[in-house]
Amino acid sequence: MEDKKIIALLFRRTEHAITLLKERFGKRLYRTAVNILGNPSDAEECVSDTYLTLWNVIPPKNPNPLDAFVYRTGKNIAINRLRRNTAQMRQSNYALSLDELADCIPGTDLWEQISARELGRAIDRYLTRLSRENRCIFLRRYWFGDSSSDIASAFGMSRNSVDVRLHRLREELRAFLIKEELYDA
Amino acid sequence: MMRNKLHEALNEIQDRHISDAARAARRSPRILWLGTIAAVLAACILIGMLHTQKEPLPVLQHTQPISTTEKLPASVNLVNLVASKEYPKMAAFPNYTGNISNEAYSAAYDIWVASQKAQYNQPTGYADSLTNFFIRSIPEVLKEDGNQAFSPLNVYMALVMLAEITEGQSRQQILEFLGADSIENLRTQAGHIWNAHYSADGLTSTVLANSVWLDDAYTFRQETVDRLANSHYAAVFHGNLGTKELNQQLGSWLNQQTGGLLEKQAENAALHPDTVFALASTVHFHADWDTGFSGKNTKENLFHCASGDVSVAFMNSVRSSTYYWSENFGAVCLELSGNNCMWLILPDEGFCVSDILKTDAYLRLIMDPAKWENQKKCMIDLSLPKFDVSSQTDLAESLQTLGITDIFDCSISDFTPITESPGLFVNKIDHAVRVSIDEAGVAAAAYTVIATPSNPRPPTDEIAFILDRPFLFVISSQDQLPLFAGTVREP
Repeated sequence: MEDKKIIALLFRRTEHAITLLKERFGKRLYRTAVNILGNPSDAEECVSDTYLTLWNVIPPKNPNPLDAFVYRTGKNIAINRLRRNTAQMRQSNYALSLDELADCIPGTDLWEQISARELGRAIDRYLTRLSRENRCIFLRRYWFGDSSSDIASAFGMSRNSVDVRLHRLREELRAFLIKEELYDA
Repeated sequence: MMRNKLHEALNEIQDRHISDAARAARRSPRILWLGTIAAVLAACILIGMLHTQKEPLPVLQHTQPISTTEKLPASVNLVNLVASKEYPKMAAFPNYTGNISNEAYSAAYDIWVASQKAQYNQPTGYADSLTNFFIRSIPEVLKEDGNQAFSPLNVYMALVMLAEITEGQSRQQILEFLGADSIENLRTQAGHIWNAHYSADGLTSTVLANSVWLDDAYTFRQETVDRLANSHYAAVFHGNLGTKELNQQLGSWLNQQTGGLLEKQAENAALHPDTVFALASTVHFHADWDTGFSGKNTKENLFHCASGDVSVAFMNSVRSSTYYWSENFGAVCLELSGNNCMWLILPDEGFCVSDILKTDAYLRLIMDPAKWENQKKCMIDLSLPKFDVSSQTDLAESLQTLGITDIFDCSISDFTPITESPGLFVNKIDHAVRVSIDEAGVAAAAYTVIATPSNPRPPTDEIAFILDRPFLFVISSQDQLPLFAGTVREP
């Protein structure tokens, strides 16, 4: 209901929509931007750019669900900014999380042969099979770039439990990708 | 290359999964955790009851032990354990070694989660009535100069036992101080608090122990002794109180229950030869930092005491955390295993620890940080002195100031629930606490002027939180109750 209201206000070009966007998505957008950029001031600029982009693209777009669209927009803006500053890459939790995930992708020669879309759809199929909690933990780490501590805090677990869980999920993903014959064992 | 491809691949994930993950909330506020050794804390309290004129009475008929799980050394025959109740069993946290199948690990993990839920299934708001007890007791005990430490949880448990063995106005004063309207409700609440704070799963250790020491020369009401054993997990001992041998055994019990942390204080825990009975209560808490400090970043620096500067080791780290501020202090919360926290509360320039203790603002923050208005997530450059604070105080005077008076006066005290012997009074309430922290992590700190903002003004995105002058600390539990509080004036 809230999402529909925000979109309606954006369509009417009412600036109050930005206030509602901040209230509803601001914290998560900022945290994801910090995860990616590793720098609070850059993250704040990135979040401001996200609101501006959303203002410019809605309308004509009418995204449903709104939240995923907002997070994708914010994340891509942060990634583009990160790519312009390779030094920042070293401080990026998100980049580190991608490295962690890359380690579990089997095969090296075939790595080049598969498209990102194909790989992404396979990961999505894998995620669909998981329990809700495991899927959310996986995505918090590898899609939003949250640290183990943040995930532990959010899910009422210990950091060690989160690390163990993520290790198991990566192992299972590797087995799944081999089973799907995307990669050699 | 691989990063780019993976990033693009992750963009293929369905919207509904992204929405769901962003919304996913805390599963339970009580499930446990891990880390490295960081904070060990212990507290004990010993309450001795004297007779104005010791007069031998018929010897107690010993009851059969309920269990013998807490045996004293066989060589000592002067003290006998007559009752103790077994502590709850908790499933051990399954350590993941890689040599275990996913199915086996999942099964062990599920058992551990179920065990946690069973242990911590306490009703909402079970400790709400204790707020006033915390507000009144913490500043009263911490008011003295020098390093001070106090365990509200430990004192609460001892006072609950004291309420069980008193009657009339003696009991009423304790009930009022603890915010309880009846002994039955206090007993129920104490059970919730005991269970909510007991932990023995190999990850976090919080052990609360009680004991009752009865002099052989007196007769005691079995019903009350049984209640102390069964409702409050008290081990019941009897012997000739005040003798050298028994004092050694008492010291040994205190030492054992506090993991050796209060060895020196336990040695001094001697009962007067006229003691008729004594109550002892201990808390031994051992938790790990969620995000540790690196030893290589620990550096010597100056701490500004009232008596002059001293050089101490500072642990340093930079972390993303929430900074809280008020009109006269800044605060951060360091997470410990088991969803416990160590709050560090630093008075702003121009204020001192005593100023902070004058109002209940710091307690309101600790007990409900989500509602605190002035807070901001930012990068915190933390510099914390390693400290090992211990204190041993007689709380008799403080408790009298706080309204518990009759138990100290033999002409009006009422201990009839435990013994018919008249003329009893409490002669001392010995409270010993030790709090010791060390690192497992980071940082280099040179002496830096603190950047804590003065007055309600939002901080910048990076804060230097340097505890190089007297500060207040509070260890709070997963239910945000203050377990330990103390002041560090001379680390």
